[in-house]
Formats: sequence, C-alpha cells, structure tokens
Amino acid sequence: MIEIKDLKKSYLINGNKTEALKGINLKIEKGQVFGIIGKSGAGKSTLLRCLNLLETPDEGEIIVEGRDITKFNKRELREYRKNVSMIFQHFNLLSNSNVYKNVAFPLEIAGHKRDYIDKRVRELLKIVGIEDKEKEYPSNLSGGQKQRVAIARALANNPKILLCDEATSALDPLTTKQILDLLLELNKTLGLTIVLITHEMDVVDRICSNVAVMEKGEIVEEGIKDEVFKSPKSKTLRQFLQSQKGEVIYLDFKERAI
Amino acid sequence: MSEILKLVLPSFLDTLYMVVFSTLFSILLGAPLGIFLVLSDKEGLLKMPKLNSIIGSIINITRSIPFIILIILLFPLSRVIVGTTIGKEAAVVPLSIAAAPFVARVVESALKDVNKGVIEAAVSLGASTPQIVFKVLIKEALPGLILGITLTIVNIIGYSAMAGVIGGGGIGDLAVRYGYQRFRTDILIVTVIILILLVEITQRTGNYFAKKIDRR
Repeated sequence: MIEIKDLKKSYLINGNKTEALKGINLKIEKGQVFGIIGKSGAGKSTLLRCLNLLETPDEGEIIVEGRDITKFNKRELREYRKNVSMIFQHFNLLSNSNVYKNVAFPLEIAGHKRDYIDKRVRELLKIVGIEDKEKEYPSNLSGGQKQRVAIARALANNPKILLCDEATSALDPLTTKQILDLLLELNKTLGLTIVLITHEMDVVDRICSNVAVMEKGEIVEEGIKDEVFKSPKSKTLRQFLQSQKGEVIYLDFKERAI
Repeated sequence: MSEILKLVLPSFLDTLYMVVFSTLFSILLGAPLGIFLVLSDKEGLLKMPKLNSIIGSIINITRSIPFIILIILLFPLSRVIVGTTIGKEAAVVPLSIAAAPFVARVVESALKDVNKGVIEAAVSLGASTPQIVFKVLIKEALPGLILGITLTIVNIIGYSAMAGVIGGGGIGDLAVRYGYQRFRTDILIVTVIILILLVEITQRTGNYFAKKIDRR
C-alpha cells in the first residue's frame, strides 16, 4: 500500500546541514498497524510527516496505491490528503469551534451538503464514543476526549490510512490504553491502515502488527513485531525493551512489598 | 445648554461618520494586506519572502509619516475620489489610508498568534489556502482581531480630531474653533468629555465581545 524508496531529507540548522532521513526504504501493507519507534531526533517524525507531505522530501519516492505522491500537484495533493488523515500529540483542534464544528470541518472543506455533514458527524461522534459532547468546546474536554474528537475529525472523509504523530504521548496510561483500543478497533472494523510513531514501547506492544526501529535517520531493523521484539538487534530497541522490562520488575517489587 | 447641544450634536455626528466609514475602508484595505503578510511569510503557507518584505516596507513607510502630513499629501487623492478636500467625506480618504497599514499589522499579529498545529491539522485534512484563511485563521484569531479593530477605531477617533482641524469638521474641529480660538472653555470641556466617552465605550464594547467569543 505504501512503498518508500530511498527517501532523503535534510535540514539547514544554523547553517549546518543535518540529515534527518538518510535513504529510507520501507513497505507498509494494507491493514497493518505499523509502528515506527526511535529516540528523539531519530527522524521518525520527519518520516511520518513525509507520508502526507507536511514535509517535502529532498530525494526518493513515496508510492501510495501505485502513485508517487511526491509528484502530485497541489490539487492532487489536497485530494490525497483527504484519504490520508493525521492525528497529533497535542490534538490540534479548532479552539473556537465546538466538537460538532471540529468534526464537520473536513466535511465542509470537502464540499459536502449540510444534511450529509449532519448525519456523518453524529455517526463519527458515536464511533469514537463522545456523542454527548457535540456542543462542548475543546477547552472543556479531557485529553482523551480531545483525541477522540481529533480521531473523529480524521475519519470524516473515510481515509484509508491514519497517521499518528505521538498520538498518545500527552495522555495518561489509562487514557492511552483506551485510545489505543479505539485505534485497534478502527483498524479491525474499517480496515484502516495505521502508521504511528512513538517512543512508548507499550504503545507498540499493544497495537502494532509491524515495527521499524530508527536510529539517526536510518531504519536499523524492521519486521513483524513479535519476531523483531524476540531477537532485537539494534541498540535502540534493546535499550527500549530493557527499560520496559525494568518497569515490570519495579511493579513486581512493589506488589511483593504490599 | 441647548446652544451647546446645537453646536456639538452636528459635530458629533460628523465625527461618527468619519470614524465609521474610515474604520470600514481601512479594514477593507488593511485586512487583505495583513492576511497576505501572514501567508507570504517565509514560514507561511505561500512563502513569498521577497514580496512580503516589499509590502512590509511600504507599510512601515506609510506608518512613519506623521498623520497631519499624510493628510496634506493625500488632499489631491481626496479631490479625485470625493471631489473636494473639505468636509467629513474628504477626511475619510486620508483617515482610511492612514489607518490601513495599522490594520494590516494588527491583523498580521492576530493571525500569527494562531496555533501552528491547528493550521497544520487543516493542511493535513486537505484544506486549500483560502479555506484555511477563512475557516481556520480568521475564526481562531477572532478575539485578537476584535481587539485589534477596537484599537484601530480608538486610533481613528484620535486621528479624526486632527483631520477635523484641517477642514474635516467633527468634534476636533469644534474644539479648536470654539473651545480654543473663541475661548469657549465650556465647549472645549464638552468636546473632550465626548471624545473620552467615545473611546471608553468603544474599548469596553471591544473587550466585551473579544472575551465573549474566546473559547480557548
């Protein structure tokens, strides 16, 4: 479904060229929940943002359903973006619009009629489980509710792919679990392909079918999550798995103490 | 008392006329400029840094000309547009043009306050630039825009008093002709009180609405 070929991107920071992506090759199949993990600055955010061209790559191809999206003109890109939605760490909702209006936004810009918008918004709010909040403004919602609104908004135009940019990193563990369950359910019921980046191992563990590990702008290992996690090769993944285990041991200790 | 009223009322209405129309035209001229400044910024949606800096310079130059001189410079333009250089209609021309760059900057700073993440989300949903301007930028910045427009109106009230002196009429003109030149202290005081009230009411109304629609 998504095939990334030799993708390169560099930035000029204070006159110094920094390579964020050093030739990424990656295949993501339809229906996968694909996790990209890595430390801060590994390039995972840049990679994800290339998938809907919020970042323009310097070199390489991104083939989505047979078409190279880096060659799209403005109009094609806007149409493509209606098929590939994104949710964010800080939700990025319209603060002066209520929940209903936030979810209606992508439908309005797609030029749908009022009746359809009304029906679809209610449908979406039901899917994400906040149908009683339609008149609330984002400032009155909890983090989890805000992310639900953002997910409803992202789903409005029936996208095939959902990009998650650290979507649970600002949420508490319980809310994180609920949002992940929702994403997994959407993956199962709608056949939504999900690409997510995170530095939280639990997120990957919980919902990803496949995983890629990034270090300094390169993918150092990738594959089916269970296999990759069983025999981690990269330093990053070994460290991440260790710290995850560390937490488990700590909890055991606490339980024994009680 | 009725004599004062007879003098003050027409002048007050002239001032209102100047303020209302100058505000309207300065927004029509200035707001698109302000929006363009935001879009053309090197981090904006259209990224036209050269044109941005040219327009920015023109705005700065216009803003640095003292208003009284700007009016004199714009007299020929008033004659072309309104047919005269005297009266409230003629004063609207320099007032609008003087306030337009101010509006542009006010709009620019209000729009730049909009959360970048929200704009990015709109881009990621496939919104076009005009859709982002009208459905995201202006909507999200509305409280700031209202405060900015309030500031503009207060400025125009002050400017209109100056414009009055060189033939525009209105409260400022009355204050100078009667209050100052004819030693009518009572009229001077009344005009000053009216200006204070006008500014006070404008500011309070602006603050009220800005606060009311702010849901952040």
